[in-house]
Amino acid sequence: MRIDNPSMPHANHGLISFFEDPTIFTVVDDEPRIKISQSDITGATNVDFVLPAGFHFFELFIRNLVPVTGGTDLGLQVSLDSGATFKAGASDYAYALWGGDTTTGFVNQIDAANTFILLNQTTNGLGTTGTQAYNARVFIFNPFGGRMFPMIMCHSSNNGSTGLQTAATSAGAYVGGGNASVSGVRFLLNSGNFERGEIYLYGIR
Amino acid sequence: MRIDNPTLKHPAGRIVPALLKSSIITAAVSRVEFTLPQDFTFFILHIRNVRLSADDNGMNLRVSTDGGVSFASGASDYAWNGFRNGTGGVVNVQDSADTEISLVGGTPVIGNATGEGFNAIVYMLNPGQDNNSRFMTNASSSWNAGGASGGNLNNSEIGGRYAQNGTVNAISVGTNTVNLVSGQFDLYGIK
Repeated sequence: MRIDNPSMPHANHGLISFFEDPTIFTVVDDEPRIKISQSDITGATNVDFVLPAGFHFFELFIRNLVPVTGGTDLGLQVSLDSGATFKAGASDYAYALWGGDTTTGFVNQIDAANTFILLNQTTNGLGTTGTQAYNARVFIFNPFGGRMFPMIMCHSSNNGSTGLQTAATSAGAYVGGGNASVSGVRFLLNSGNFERGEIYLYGIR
Repeated sequence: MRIDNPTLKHPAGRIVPALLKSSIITAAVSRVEFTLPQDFTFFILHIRNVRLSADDNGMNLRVSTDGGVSFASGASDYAWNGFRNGTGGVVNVQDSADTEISLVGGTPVIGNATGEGFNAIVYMLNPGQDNNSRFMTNASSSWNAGGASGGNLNNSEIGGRYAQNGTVNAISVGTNTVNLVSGQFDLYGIK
């Protein structure tokens, strides 16, 4: 006997996934994430991911991200051709970020026309030591468009380049191509390279 | 038959989130504690419908590096910051040297009248990294508040970290002052 129905509803927790052995199962989240890929960064200029078809949402977890140069800022760009090229026009992205540190407090950072979506509060930028590393959850709502701009949300926490606890929440959109389907994302710095870090990509059906 | 085995894999080798533990509060407890298995990379804690034994309290998170035998509560063990939004408008909230990570932005605004309580989702992005930024969380929470704290619906988002050395392998959530009398905590692990 084999049961392969991954969407059988559970009374309390949404879904139960059945595996090859139908006598073994595990209860999973209401929005089960399937791990697609992982990037262990060492000295990269950009970190790119391809977004495969068949998912409604994507979620990326970033941990221990450290740039070579302190005070730099993290951005996200999208690809419409599965990572062959990434959009970087002057008006391709819009974002609204709300964030700050334990000294300045949260401030508003908005840009309706940028070359990337900003993912950190820029008062201090990213720090270069392990204890200052950047951590975040990035959620991509509608990568395959069709009705509205592909949009993302990001919640981050780090101990910025000056050693101050820093947090930010931001929303951004690719506005350069109408409701185009996005099939890749790129993480980049506004200057210099990444030294190290890890980024995990999950898909949600 | 095995249930909730966190090491099981999808047939294609992909791992889905595992519900590691549900803690349903049926009798008053001061805090709710979870161990964090070190074979997971990230953790998500869902907190819902928590009622407290008294009005006007906060909610906080502390960590353990000894598997939950003790939880750090030194004066400078944690740093956190974020914002809180309610009837008083949006305000910055922060503490660079605290005994805990506040999940509600410091102010004791959780009510315990009918319909009031606390809900949150806490992301633990790298608890098992001793030599890095050890423990970062993002909490998004909302609740109804009444009594002395005033206000109605409050929403907050907090980033926080454990500022000392050591691999975090357990967490504790509570108020320090009053009991939790009902609610549910669900801890998920992600590889």
